[in-house]
Amino acid sequence: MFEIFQFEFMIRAFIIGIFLSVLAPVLGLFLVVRRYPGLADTLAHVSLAGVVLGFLLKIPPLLASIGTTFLAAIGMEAVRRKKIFGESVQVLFLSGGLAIATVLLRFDQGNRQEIFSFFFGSIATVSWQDVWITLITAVFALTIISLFYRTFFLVALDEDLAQAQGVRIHFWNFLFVALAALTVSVVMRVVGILLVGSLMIIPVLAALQFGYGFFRTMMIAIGISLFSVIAGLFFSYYIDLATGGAIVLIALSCFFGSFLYKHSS
Amino acid sequence: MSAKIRNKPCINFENVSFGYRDGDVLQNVNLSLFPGEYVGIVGPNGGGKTTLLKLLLGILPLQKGSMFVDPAMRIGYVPQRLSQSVFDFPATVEEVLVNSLPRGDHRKAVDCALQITDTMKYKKRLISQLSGGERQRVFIARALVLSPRILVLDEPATGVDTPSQDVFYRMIDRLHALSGMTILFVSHDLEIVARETTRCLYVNRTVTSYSCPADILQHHHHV
Repeated sequence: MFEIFQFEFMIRAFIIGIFLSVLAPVLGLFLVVRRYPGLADTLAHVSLAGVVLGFLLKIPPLLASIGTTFLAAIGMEAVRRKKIFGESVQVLFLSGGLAIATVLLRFDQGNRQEIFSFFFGSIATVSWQDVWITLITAVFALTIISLFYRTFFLVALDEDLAQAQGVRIHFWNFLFVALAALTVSVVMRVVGILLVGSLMIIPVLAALQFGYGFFRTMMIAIGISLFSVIAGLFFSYYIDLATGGAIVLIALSCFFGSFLYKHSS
Repeated sequence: MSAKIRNKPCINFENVSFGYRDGDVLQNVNLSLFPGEYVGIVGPNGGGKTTLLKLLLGILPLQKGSMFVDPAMRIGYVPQRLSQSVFDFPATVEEVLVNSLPRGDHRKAVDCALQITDTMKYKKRLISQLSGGERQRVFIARALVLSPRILVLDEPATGVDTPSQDVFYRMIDRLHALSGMTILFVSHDLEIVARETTRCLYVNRTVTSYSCPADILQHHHHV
């Protein structure tokens, strides 16, 4: 058996990593086809404010981050409905989240090290509590997506078509950004705030190079994401690399591989 | 036209007005449409054609007046311009049709809609790989798979080459004759409307109905 599995923190890392590798590209594919990929990074920066708040209020930072990101996502969707360009809304919330986090950091005493671990992810500090929060979030989000897959697909395809069929698109848009917020918060624990968008988007971009339909693209993206996370964990353990960075670099290699495959065939 | 037209309206607008920030687009529109009609809608750009359809489809909220749409008459819609994301959306034709339906196995309905629109050969292809005309027919199939009794086509032949347009109009004509569904068809092309439809509506803030579509050529040849 691999030596890596003798350590409990690595077992926790693999459990959390596998669930996130399934969840992240599912939400990521919808973000890409809706031309809203920047949402993941924006929410990740907002979630930092939640992490700092969690340390200040002495509540689990992951839960505080989920709450803050969720509220920000709802706020973003409400502002976007007022016909402010999608991208501009993202800048508003990204800057706002980061500003709140830096101001709150001033009041923190003694947790800097742990807070900074959220920037790049720290698999070694993942607790069983984090594992359970992640599992519940992932199962919840994936259940909602699979139950209402066709509605999410239709809204992503064309909002007018969906609305003409009686789909209440505002509700579904709110639900979608809320799920994206949950996903960002839990993915952040593994790869860190700075790389969260990468795990959600890069496997999708790599899968899109193969030119298959929506469902197959989603499955390929999950495969690439699983491979990146598992290989990244092995590399980070045996070669002592930063886990988040290793995972994203492997996903990037998959993207360039599939890109070259597409353009050479 | 062989489709039988019944007397009770399936769509009724009474004194409907609708405006955006810069003023009313539609004013006091009164309109009745009957089951089985093939109605052409013409009018100048900005005259309110698409707004009229969007009110009917519930995409825009009713601001003034009252509107009745027979709840038994399901509406299929093919928009004028599909959103930009549709053009490179990574989905097969089959996925677009299947995911437009509620959960369940709808293989027969999907195949039937593809056969009617002669798009069965594109079933496994990505919608991004289709030409404008092929994609438009696929989106008609998407509307048909919902088993509509009213089919709303908003400038369906825009950007489609002339031979494909002819194929398209023959297909709609056949569909109307066979199914007897109500068809609302917005177009800029008065000659097409005069030739194809059984009634014509001229929309320019208000709606004028022409029971003989050919009359529209004499009254509004400038459109």
